[in-house]
Order: sequence, then C-alpha cells, then structure tokens
Amino acid sequence: MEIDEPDTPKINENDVLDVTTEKVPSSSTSQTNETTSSSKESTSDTTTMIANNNNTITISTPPRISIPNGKSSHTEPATQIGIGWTQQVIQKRTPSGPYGKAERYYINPENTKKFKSMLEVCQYLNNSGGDVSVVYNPSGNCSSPSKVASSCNNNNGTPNISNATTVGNGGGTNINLKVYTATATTTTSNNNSQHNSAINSANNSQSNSPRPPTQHVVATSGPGSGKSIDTHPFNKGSVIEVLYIKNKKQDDSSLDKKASEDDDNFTNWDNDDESISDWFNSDEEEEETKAKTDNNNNNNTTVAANNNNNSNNVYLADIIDRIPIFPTIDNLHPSQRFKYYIHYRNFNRRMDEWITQDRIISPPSVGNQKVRQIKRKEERRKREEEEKRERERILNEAALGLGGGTRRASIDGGGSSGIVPSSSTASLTGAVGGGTTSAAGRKRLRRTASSGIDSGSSFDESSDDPSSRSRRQSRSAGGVGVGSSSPKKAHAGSGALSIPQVSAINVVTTIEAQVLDEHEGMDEIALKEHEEVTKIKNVNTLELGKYQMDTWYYSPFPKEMFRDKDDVIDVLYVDEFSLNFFTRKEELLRYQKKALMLDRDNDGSGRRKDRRHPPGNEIYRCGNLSSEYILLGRGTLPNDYCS
Amino acid sequence: MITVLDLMYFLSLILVFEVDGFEERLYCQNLCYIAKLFLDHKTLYFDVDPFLFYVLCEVDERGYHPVGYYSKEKYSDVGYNLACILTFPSHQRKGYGRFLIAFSYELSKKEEKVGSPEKPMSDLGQQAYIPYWTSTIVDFLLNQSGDSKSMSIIDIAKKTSIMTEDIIFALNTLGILKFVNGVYFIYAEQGHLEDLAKKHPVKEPRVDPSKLHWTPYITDVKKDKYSIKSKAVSVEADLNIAK
Repeated sequence: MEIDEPDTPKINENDVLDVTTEKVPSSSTSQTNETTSSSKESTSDTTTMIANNNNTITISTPPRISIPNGKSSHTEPATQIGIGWTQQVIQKRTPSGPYGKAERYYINPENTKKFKSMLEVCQYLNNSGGDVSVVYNPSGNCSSPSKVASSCNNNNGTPNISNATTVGNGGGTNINLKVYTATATTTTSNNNSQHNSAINSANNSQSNSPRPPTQHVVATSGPGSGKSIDTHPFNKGSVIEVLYIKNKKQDDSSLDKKASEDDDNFTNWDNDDESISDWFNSDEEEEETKAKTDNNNNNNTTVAANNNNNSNNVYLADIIDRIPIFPTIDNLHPSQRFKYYIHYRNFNRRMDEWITQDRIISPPSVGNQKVRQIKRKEERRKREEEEKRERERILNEAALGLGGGTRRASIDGGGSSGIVPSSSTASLTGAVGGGTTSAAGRKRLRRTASSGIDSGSSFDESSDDPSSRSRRQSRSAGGVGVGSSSPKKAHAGSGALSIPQVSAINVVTTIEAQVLDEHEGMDEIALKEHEEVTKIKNVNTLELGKYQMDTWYYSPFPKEMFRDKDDVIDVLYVDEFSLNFFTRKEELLRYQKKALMLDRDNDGSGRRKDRRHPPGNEIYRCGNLSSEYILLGRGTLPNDYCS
Repeated sequence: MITVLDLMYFLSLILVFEVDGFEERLYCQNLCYIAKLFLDHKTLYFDVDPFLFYVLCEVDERGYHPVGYYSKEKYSDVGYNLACILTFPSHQRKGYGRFLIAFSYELSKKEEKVGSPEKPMSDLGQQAYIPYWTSTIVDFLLNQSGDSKSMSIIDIAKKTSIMTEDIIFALNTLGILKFVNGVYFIYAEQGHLEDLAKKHPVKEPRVDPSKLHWTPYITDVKKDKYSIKSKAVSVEADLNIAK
C-alpha cells in the first residue's frame, strides 16, 4: 500500500521531525510535537529580531536532485544555501528489501558538517555567523525578511499577533505545514484533498497569496529514484524497537503463540516461554501501562528506564505497512493515528503483527542506528572468524608437515565390542573421494612406523619437536593409547571401539547445513516474490470449533471472500465437519442448521453424510473408549451442537 | 422414528480418517486453504486429486473434531511419504505432530517402503522431525543390541522406514556416527545409548500398529526404487554371499 501524501508538507514535516528525533532519540513522537513548536518559537524569536535589525539572509531549499541510475549517492552544489554548500542524496538500503529510502544531506563548505534538514542548516548558520541572522524559507521563493517573520509567528498558532496580515508565499507553505499536522488526515486517500483544503484555507486567510510554483519542483521525487519517498515518521522499511506483549485474546482462547511449537523438545522455546511468563507475573506489567501513560505525558526518562527493564521483550522490528485507525482522535500526532504491520527481526514471519504506537519503544532513527551497529559487529565477527580459520589452517598444515608423531596412538584399542564396524559399512564410503583413502593409507604407514614406541603410554614419548607436542595437546587429544590415564579417555578403558580423538579431523560430525534450509530450492527472486505477495496476512483469526486461533501466514482464499484487494478478514469461521469457511458467524450457523436438517452436505452430491466426522474412512482408532452407549434420537441433539 | 446409537467417548480417544483428494475434492481444498494459514510455503490448493489426506480427530460427545492432518502423495517419485503436516495451533504441544509423523512412517512400513518428508522442511517441521528420528533410532539401536553382531544404516532403514539420508542426519545429530580413516562407524555402547534414550525419549501418544486398519493405495507403478525389497541386501546376507 503506497501512501500518497501531500507534497510540500511532506517534506517540511519530514525535516522538522528529523531534527527532533536527532535531538531526543528515544522520545515518543508526542514529544516531537513539543520540540517542533519550541524550535519554531526560537525561529520566531530570531525573526522578530530580524524585523528590527533588517540584517538577514534568507535561504531556501535547494531543488531536489535525483540519483542517477546505478549509483547509490549523488552530490550537487547547493547555492541556495550559500557558496560552497553542497547537497548529497544517498540511497539507503534496508535489509528488508525494496523499501530503501533516499536521504538528503546538506554539507557545509568546509565539508565538516552534515545536516539532515534545512532547519538544522539554519540553526547552524545562526549560531556560527556573527550578527547576521539567517532565515529559512522553505518555498524557495525569496520574500522579504519581515514577511517571513510574521509568517513564522503565525505558525505558532498564537492568535494575537497583529502583523500576521502581510505574508509572503514562503509563509504560506509554512502555514500549510502547521495546518496539516494539526488537523489529522484521516485516511491516506483523503490526504490530498485535505491538504488542498488546508492550502485553500491558508490562502484565504493570507490575502489570497498564490501557491508558490516552486512547491511542485521541491515536492516531486527525483525521476531516477523510481518511487516516491515515504516520509512518514515511521516510514516503511525502517527499523523500530517494539515491545513484545502477548495478546490478551490469545490467553483467553487458550492459545499461545509461543506454545505453537509442534514439539516442546526445543529448550530455547521453553526458555522464551518462561521469560515471558516471568514478565507477566512480575509487576512489570504495571510498568508497561505506566510506560503507556508516560508516552502520552512525554516523559522521556521513564520510557528509557522501561526500555532497559524490559529489554528481554524489546525487539527490533521492520515496519512493513501502516494503515490509519478509525475513528481518528484529533489531538493525536500523525504517527499515533496509524497502526503498523511489523516484522520482528530474526523471527519467523508468523510472528508478524499489527501494533499501535504505544508499543513502539524507539523511533526509526534509533532502530536504524542499532541495525547498523549490529551489522558492523557481524561483519567484524565474520572477518575475525575467517582470520582465525586461516590461521588454524596454516598451523594445521605446518603440523602435518612435521611427520608421523602427531598422528599416532590410534588403532590400538579398536574393534573389540559395541557395535562392530562391519565390512559392509564400507559401502558408505562411496561418498569419500579417492584422495581421502590415499591419505588414510599414508597415515597408516606412519602409524605402523611408530607403533613400537607408542603402546602402553601416552604421547610424551618421542616428541622431538616442542611445537608438535603443543599442537597435539591443544587439540585436546588426550592420548588414546591403551591403559593411558587421561580423564578424557573414558571409553578407551572400557574396551569399546575406541575412536582416537587424535583423529578428530577425520570424524565428520555434522551435515546439518544442507538439510536445515527452509527455503532450499527457491532462488532469490522467487523467494522475494513469494514474500512480497504473502507479506501481510489476509485473515487475522480462525475460529474452528470451540477454538479461536491467530493465523500465521497469508492464505490465498478466493477473492470473493474479500471486499477489496487489501481487505483483511478479521475472523474466519470454519465448520468443523465440512471445513467450509465463512466470514460471518451467522452464515456459519445458518449453514450448520441447514446441513443438519438435510443430513447431507451442500456440495450437491446428494450423498448422505454423517455430519460429525470428516469424510473418508476411519483407519485408526486408539485410546480409551468408554462402554457407555447413549441412545439419542436424531432430533434430540443439543441446540448448541453447532457452536 | 429412526434412532441412532451415539457413542459417548472420553476425550483420550483419537482417530485418523483417510480422505481421498479425488473423492472429497471440496473438503480437501478447504483443508488446504485453512492449512495455508499456518504453513508458509505451501502451494497446493486446487489440484488435490493426487493426494491422500489423513485427518487426525479428537472425539467428544459432539462429534469428531479435527486437530491436525497431513497429506501424502498417492505416488511419490522421490519417496516422499508426507507432503504437508499441520497440527492446529489450538492443539499443539500435545504430541499430535509427532503422532502424525509416526503414523506416516507406520503407513510406509505397511507399504514396505522407506519414506521421507517433502523437502525443504519448515522450521517447525524440523523441530518435529528431528526428535522423532533421533528417538526412534536410539530406541531401535537400544532394542537391537545382542541380536546381531553387525548392522548397517540400511538395516535401520528397513526396520524404521526412515530414509537413509535422514538416518545419517539423525546419527550425526546424536553424534554417534564417526568417520574414521575413510570408513563410517556407528559408535554407540550400551551405556551411552541409554543416556541418549533418556535424552531423546519416545513420547506419547504412540502409534499402535495393531490398531491400524489400512491397505496401501494401489498405484500402477510397478517398479519402485523406494520399496524395501529393492534395497541392497543386509549385512549378514552380504557376508553369506561373500562366504
């Protein structure tokens, strides 16, 4: 679902929000509102001063640039800000796929500072440069400073400002921004019309000043980027931190998402369960509700504390989609008026769910940062591992070159009891290449050469070379000579087939990699396509018999079931015996009543069917069958039979 | 007035129904749609004809409630004995998934074939299958010691109907398959096996083969390389021939 938001305010809003999220990383967005207005206030202060001094420079947003095809960034001079300034557009890549967002930076002439928004640039210029004040005029249509000043004042929504009557074009846009954020666009499709009306009203009140033509230039995304840029504060594809809580509904219906595993053999799932139940038992639940109110109260610190305490249940999540919530509550920030479809990182897609604003712990700026950190760490770890492996390989080769001493002490205790290695298992060695066999032969030669010294003792003998000895010990070989005394050789004494640990490099222990890939056999494109189509579940809950369960994945139900393309069925009602499904409970009940009366299914086959078991033959029956037979007339079935 | 006998069952009774995708097309299609809600990679919805569906039911006084199912190709080219398996979330963690898996192998035994689940497996599929394989193999090895002096992986496959690849995987998971000097050994002594058996117990509900009333679905395929008869001769026979 691509969301078409109004053009100019989109950019302005983004700029403003970016500034604030920069400043207060873990704040909720309602906080953002406050800081937004405060920053506005400061602007208005400076501008009032400007009105007195008349010593100002007006800067405007440089025209949007696009990234050439095949490149990930592009830089162009931005003379609108000043000589030497440049702007840079970088295509962001998110691991989740195609939702890369292009980000624009403004770079100062010294090439020392990067700014995300024009407001930041403005502040920077104001702070650095002498007594000349800089005013940001977002429209790019330079107007006189005093006019801008008055427009800024108007932005604060303070009604008693008298000089709000003379307003230039640039001010018009600013007002649009304010109107836009205050009066809540309800649906995405409404956005445009709302915006237009906002503009109209603004224009009307501002002595019909025409809409600046440059708006369009600024607003349209670059043709090279190929898709419109999502500038919602919680834009698609960005990463946020989300508090995971169990659904209350699930608890009631004795369904547990975590308990959904087919088998409880896996301890990590059990642990997970435990941690969650712990969390619910403790008083942290209280804290969670507190956190919610805190969110509303813009209390930043408590949220952070909460974040720390519940760190077990806070996960990184990708935002996949968002839809507006009905009905809209007017005084909420735009980001609170949506619910978001999120995917928890490193979790199966069955955990994807819709969440509301209050579950979000930290905004994209923090989440993306963390992702970058993790990525860096991962890369470093990988590099180190590779280096380590390389070192080991070199060492290994060196050790091999040292001769037979390393490889001794093996066959002595072998082949006496247990499951005896049979000759026919050699058929398995078909997998082993000829090279290995020859290597084995070589080893055998060496072994026989040194076996005289070897028997009855551990390694200590004949270690002519200290490096080779240390090598052996580091392999935790522990010497598997017969009757040796190392504790590691529990099996050797028992007379079982003693596999010398020395030859550990010969023992293949796992072949897991080839089996454990869920997406084996699907190429990347097919996989991506599959994920794209099935990204969002189209049925939320399934009611089967007396149970309601949350669904896990998308299912291609016939499109007649849905009102429109993006429709989501909240509860799907399924008849237990014919497995017919319905979107409304009444339909199910009616169907069941009818089917009972007819005593046959509605499939037109006309066959008589027992309405209480699946079709087909019973092939297995096991368990306690009570000997109680109860005589029931057909009509005496209880009324709630169906439900 | 027609009266029927209705049986009052205790809940511990479980049944399996075999539904032919050809005969009960609508039912099976519905089943597929609903199952897709819980399976990520499933592509079968309409063409249910070449499949058999085994529906596991719990019973109470109101009737037979499906709690899980698996589907199986009537004839599989590559020796799959199970295509999709699902226990509904409301009935998970009761061992039904394991039961259905054991059931699929039980049918394979009746067919005198070895079988394997359709690959690739999902994450939950692995979580159900790996314990089944390990516990079954450990159980088998434990009850086997003493009888014969030697045994090969194919011998295990013949008795358990688990495909050799899966056995090798399970043995590797258990850590008892060793590769020494170019030869594979199953290395397990009694004590170690008992430890493993404790760690990988065979869980309830088990499948009781005597309660299975079923004959294999007859296909036209004459030669089937997954039939046990076509497998290489066992170790002892091999030795006999060598003599």
